[in-house]
Amino acid sequence: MSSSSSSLFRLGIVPLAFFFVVFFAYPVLHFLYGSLVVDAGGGSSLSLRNFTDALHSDSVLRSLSTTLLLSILTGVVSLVIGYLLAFQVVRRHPAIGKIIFVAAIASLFTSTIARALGWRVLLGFEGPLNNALIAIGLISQPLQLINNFTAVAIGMIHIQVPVVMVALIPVIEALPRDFERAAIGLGASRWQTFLKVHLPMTWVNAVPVGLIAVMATAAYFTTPVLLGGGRVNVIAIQIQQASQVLFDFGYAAALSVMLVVMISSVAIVILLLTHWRRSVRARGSS
Amino acid sequence: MKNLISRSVDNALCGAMHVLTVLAVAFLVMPLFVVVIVSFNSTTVIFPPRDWSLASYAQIPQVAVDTFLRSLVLGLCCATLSALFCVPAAIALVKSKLPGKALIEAALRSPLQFPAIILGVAILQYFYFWQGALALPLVGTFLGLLIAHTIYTFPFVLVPTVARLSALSDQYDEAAAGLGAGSLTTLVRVIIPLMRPGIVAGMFMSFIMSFEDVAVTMFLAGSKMTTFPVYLFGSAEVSNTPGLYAVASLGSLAALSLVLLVERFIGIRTVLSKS
Repeated sequence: MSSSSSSLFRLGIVPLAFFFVVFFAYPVLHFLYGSLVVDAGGGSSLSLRNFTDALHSDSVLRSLSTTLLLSILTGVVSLVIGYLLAFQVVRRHPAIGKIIFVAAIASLFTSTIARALGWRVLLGFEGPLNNALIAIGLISQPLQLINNFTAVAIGMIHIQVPVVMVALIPVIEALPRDFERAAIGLGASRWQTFLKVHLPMTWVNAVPVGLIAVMATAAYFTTPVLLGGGRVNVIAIQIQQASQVLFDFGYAAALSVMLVVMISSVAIVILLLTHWRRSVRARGSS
Repeated sequence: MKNLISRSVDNALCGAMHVLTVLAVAFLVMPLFVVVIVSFNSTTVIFPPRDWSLASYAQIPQVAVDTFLRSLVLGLCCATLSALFCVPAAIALVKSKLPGKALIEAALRSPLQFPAIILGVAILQYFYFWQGALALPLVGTFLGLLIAHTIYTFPFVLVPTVARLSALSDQYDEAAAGLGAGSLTTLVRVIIPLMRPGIVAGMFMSFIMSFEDVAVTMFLAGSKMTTFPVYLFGSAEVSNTPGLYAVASLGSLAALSLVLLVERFIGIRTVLSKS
């Protein structure tokens, strides 16, 4: 390719780069920087007051722990269910795999608000789930399933399972079928094959998928509002309140920084643990 | 004997796995069924309905239709604008000798992992600033929403177009050059048509993300530019009527028809594996 056309092609990055800097990089950095700026008297000055305010507020600390618990619980459960479903899609009879895949896709592309509404009915005080549990005699009084942490966790898991499943299908497909044939040929049962061949060879690639679910859940807004009934006050709700009710962008920015720091720390810890385990295993086997 | 035990344990565990799978599939589809069925109630939200009727569908408010059409147009504009930005950028990233390529690509992917709610507040603050400084109204306007949605969804187009272009062999360029085509002709008549599956896959994802977004839009829509999911979210927050479920069912049906269309023409797995 001639160098003149290469330099012409190079210009193709300019519109997107300009758009990205003007409408993403600058607004985001400016907003986050605002967490350090406080109006004092006539002018504004740099201060950590937004952060100290936030860290001294019980409701913020409770939000942080609720968000952390919700996102890790959602990530772990979604990873387990998503792995199970992806495994079935790849390794079971194609017709069964197809049914599972269609169910997951239908769920994935249905509006998340519609899905929250579905759970609102299912988990309701006189809803089908309570009725079924009473009918089979497991409980005598209806359980409070809606407007609490459990409801939000169920709704979030329902959102993340199809995402995780779709991302895990290529991970499981990448494992050659010969490995499991060899294991079964050597006398391993199907269950042992799954436990000793599939899981150890795929989990390093599966953990980052679960991590994405954790990160997405930590910043989720709509489902905690619709299924939490005001009792599950995640950080995203605090950010929305600070900016749209209190109009305090500095405080909203401080909460945003805390959310980003929390998400990144979880990511770093989980990735370090995975790699540490892997390097120990590598050293042990050599 | 030992063999028999291990075989029955194996069968039991595999059976448990199958039961779990059935439960997980039921878990995935139950809420979708329930929403549709509840929408056939006439007055109160009960499952299963006591009086089946289509009354809730006859009473769908005009605002639902208006916001739905607005979201449709917004999603289409957003997907188109994203493609217009991303196709030249992908060509620059793959086909030219751009310094710092990896860094630029990583930066341009960053909106994918960035929390939407923070993006929404940041853009709101930025738009307020523009409104004050330049008297350019962006909050509560179509243009403002289009800008925000495009920033939020363009990586969904960039990633598959770059992937598709990187996977194309250089032999196409060489063959076209050997037949006497200039590099610009090659680009327009050979390379861009070959990129089409990546572009379509990306535009579909961009449209869906725009069409379903609440976290960014709720800050920027104002009262005049409410989109369909923001309207639905607002109604779901304050009410619980069969009409709400009817609107939610129809909105989801629209998104799922688009998925079917994509499945028919390019295959949904191709789309998902690229993004």
